[in-house]
Amino acid sequence: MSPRFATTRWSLVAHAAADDSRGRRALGELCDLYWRPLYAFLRRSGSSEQDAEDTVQGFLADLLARGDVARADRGRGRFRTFLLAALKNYASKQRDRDAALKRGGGVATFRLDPDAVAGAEAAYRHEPSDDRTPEEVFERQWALTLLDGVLTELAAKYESEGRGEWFAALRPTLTGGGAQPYAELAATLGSTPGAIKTAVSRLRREYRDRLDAALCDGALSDDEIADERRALLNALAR
Amino acid sequence: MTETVLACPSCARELPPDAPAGLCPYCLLAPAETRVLSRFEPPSPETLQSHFDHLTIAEEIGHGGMGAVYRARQPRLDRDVAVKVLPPDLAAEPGFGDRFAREARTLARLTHPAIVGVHDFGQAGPYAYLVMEYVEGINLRERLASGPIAPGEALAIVSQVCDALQYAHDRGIVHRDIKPENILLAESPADSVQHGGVRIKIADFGLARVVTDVIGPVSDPRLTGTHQAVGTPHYMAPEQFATPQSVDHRADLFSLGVVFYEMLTGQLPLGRFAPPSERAAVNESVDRVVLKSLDPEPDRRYGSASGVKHDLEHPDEEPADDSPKADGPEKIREWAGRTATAAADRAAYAATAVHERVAKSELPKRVGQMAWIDSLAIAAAVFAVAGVSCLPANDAFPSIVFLLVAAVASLLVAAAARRHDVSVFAGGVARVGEAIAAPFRRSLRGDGLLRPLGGPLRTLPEPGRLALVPFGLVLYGVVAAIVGVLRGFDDEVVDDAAGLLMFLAVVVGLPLCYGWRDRIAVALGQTEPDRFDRVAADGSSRWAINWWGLLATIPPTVAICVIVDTASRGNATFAGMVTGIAVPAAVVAFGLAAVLAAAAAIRSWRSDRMQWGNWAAALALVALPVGAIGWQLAESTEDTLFGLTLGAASRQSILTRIEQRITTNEDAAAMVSESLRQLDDPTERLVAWLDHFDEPTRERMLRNSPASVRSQADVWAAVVADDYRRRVGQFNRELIELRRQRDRLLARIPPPGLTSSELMSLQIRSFVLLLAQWLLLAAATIGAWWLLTKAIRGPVAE
Repeated sequence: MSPRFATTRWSLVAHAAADDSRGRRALGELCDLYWRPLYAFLRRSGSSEQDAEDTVQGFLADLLARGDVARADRGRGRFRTFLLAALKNYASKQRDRDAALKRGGGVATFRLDPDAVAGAEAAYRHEPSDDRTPEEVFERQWALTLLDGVLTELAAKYESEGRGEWFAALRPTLTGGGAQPYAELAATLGSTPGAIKTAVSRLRREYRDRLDAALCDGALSDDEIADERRALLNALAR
Repeated sequence: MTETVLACPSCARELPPDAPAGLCPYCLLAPAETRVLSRFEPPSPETLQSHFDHLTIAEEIGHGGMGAVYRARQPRLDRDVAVKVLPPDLAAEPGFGDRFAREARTLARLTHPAIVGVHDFGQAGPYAYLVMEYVEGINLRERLASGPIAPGEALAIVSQVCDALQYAHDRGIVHRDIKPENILLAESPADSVQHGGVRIKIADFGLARVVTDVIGPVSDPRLTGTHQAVGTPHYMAPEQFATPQSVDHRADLFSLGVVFYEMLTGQLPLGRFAPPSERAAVNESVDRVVLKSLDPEPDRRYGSASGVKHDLEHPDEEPADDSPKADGPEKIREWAGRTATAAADRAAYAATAVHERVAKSELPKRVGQMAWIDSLAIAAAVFAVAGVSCLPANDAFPSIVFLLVAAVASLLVAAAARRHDVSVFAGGVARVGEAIAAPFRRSLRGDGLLRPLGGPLRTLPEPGRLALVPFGLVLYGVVAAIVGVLRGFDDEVVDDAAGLLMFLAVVVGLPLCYGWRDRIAVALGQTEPDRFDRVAADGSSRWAINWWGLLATIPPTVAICVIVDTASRGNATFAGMVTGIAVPAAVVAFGLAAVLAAAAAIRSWRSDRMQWGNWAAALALVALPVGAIGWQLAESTEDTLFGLTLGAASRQSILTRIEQRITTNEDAAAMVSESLRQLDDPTERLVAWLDHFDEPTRERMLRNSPASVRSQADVWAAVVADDYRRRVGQFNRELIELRRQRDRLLARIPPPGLTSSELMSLQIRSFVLLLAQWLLLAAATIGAWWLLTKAIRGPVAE
């Protein structure tokens, strides 16, 4: 009913807080969404590949077990900020607990997919090796993950409608650059330029709505969304 | 593996290898609305040349998604010019040609050393083009890329930009897309000394507006990226994203602040940014200027570009406090703005009426050049009311001047028609002229006047708006008194002066009489977000509004014409009665009070017959509340009529939007309430508080003094809970308002399956309501008028 709030991270959080199957699914979704920036953050902070993977996994499992998510609330600001603060907190005390975990005290309730870890590592290696702080790396990865999520969602939707081919062809129009002229697209897709024009504007509208919803993340006003957009643009521009 | 560095074809940034789906993440995240048209391939100079025969196109000097710029030669004038062509997609949009032409003409009038001049414009083949002054040099973006800018140079640049912006803003033109790409640094060694080594020129004035207006609803901010491919949101003021339709010159000042910050620090002011003095060798007075320019709230920014310049050049003086005052004066400005707009709008009619009255009465024979004094009086009054009330709004003044010019033009048309001695015809001609002029006036920034009319005014009851009328009448009274003094008081002059005052009261009264039309005008100006703007966004509803608006103006117009005719035949009492029907009682009551005061004063000076005047004044005062009630009645009637007239589909879509907002608010309120509930529980509260600290600190705190931790948690929870409660309150208040809107809307949606006869009966019922209201007002007014006539003609009649 309310496109903005239905997809905010905080509403996922609210669902994740519930101790039922829906909650577990929401939490899984959360973890899938956000572990990559966390991973990049730890890597940039100096953790090894293996340690970073373990820490993220442990952190998310811990988040689940301790019910931190249940206590997270939108009053604390952006979910992004909350998650990073919680990770820092976790990493600082993890050293103390390492020994206990090694003795088998920890029960992993969340396992990272090894392929995904490899992907995240590859993504991290793409991070320019300049003087960015771990926080900046986190923000940049956050922005990329968010965009990736929106595009994946859209692709899935088009796929489910049997229009995957259209999505692939029209996707470049989302950035306005490198797109073929409508006439060429029409020839490729066996359609008319008029229909292409309509499809492009529809795609853009859907994309914009989803992006706005994703950006909303704990923000209540349009100003705050614009702020978030600026902050992430800045992270990408650095 | 070959390492190829790919660049985004849109923004030319390096494409990172981890770009999602191989698309530039920056462009993906930038407001998607900035890329609406399909990719624009700039034509080659040769191709373009085939469309121009009076220009020799030399080379392309820049292009982007929204146009390309070429250097060209004008052989006949032996000079270089820059030719900007816009994408054919844009030119093909309906309505583009008119807007482009209008904007180009406006821009051509901007002649300022720091603004790129527009020489010509037109359509060449598929391309709309502008011929502009050619500026040899680089733009500020290129300058920024070549190395740091010294603070002195930055200040010199900003100060020149301020001059140019102030010049344009004074003429009601907002750039809307100030960014380094649009600030050109001219090579001009001749005067480089007195301008700190640089001479700037601002390009692309107002083009953002053309693009915005043409390619879609105004709620989408779009940018013209002339010298780069895609507009960047970094330089846009927050309100350009949030409420693009109400953007004014202060948006330019925000953009200027961003540019200034970037020049000083090399960075954009994003997130929690450091003040410039921490990053550049400038003192804190510069910080103040930059931070004030960058305030997200337009009201807290500088009110004018010259204010920025003043504070930069006089860092030791008190800061220029030119930002508009909030609340009280602002509210008064809004009230007065509304009345003034309407008054100026209708001055043409009143002027016609006065003209007729004066031309056909005995007065001209006695006073000679009386007619021009009337026109002058109206002009002075309109200027005084409008000027005083709109002073803080920079772009309002030109609008008023334009309205005045339009009024005078209508007057001339009417005067021409009057040669036929048919004043009804004259009024009709004036009406048609005005109808034709209306869209032009709106486009020529007449909307600047309507814009301040949102906000508190919406909730202001009608009597509050009426309170402005005496103010206008006092001004008219002064003018009339001067005429009286000039001519010396005698019975006939007093009679005519009272008649004159009556007509002048019409000047102020008409706007309220035209309340219908004005509210519609506000709706078309999209200034009253309450209900009409959304309705007006729908094309068919727009027609309905126009249609009803036109109908609503007919009765008062005809009435005025009848007044004029009867008055000119010497039947002043009948004219007064007709006036009573045409002008709502509340207004006339005020007018009469003023007239009676004058009449009574004159009579008491001449004789002791004051009783009639006193009676009439008392009656006029009684008529006031009656009139006010009538207005409220009129409002509800109007609602009913509108509800039945507009398309059901558009009302349904508004309803859907309101319902969505209700759900959204309910969700939000529920979430915050849930958090609030958690804070109520002492244990949860403690856990939440401790969660702010890392493990060692936590343990230390609990070890040292568990009690104090608990009390800390309580204090923290109290503070946070306050904020939560405030939010819950805010959500709930919005919910109440939204539900009220929903109910009101539901009441105005005809039940499904309403037959046309049922609809007809509803319409008839609301028409009867309206008629009853008019009759009520008329009765009160006629009574007052009759007594006034008695008061003035008293000694003669008895």
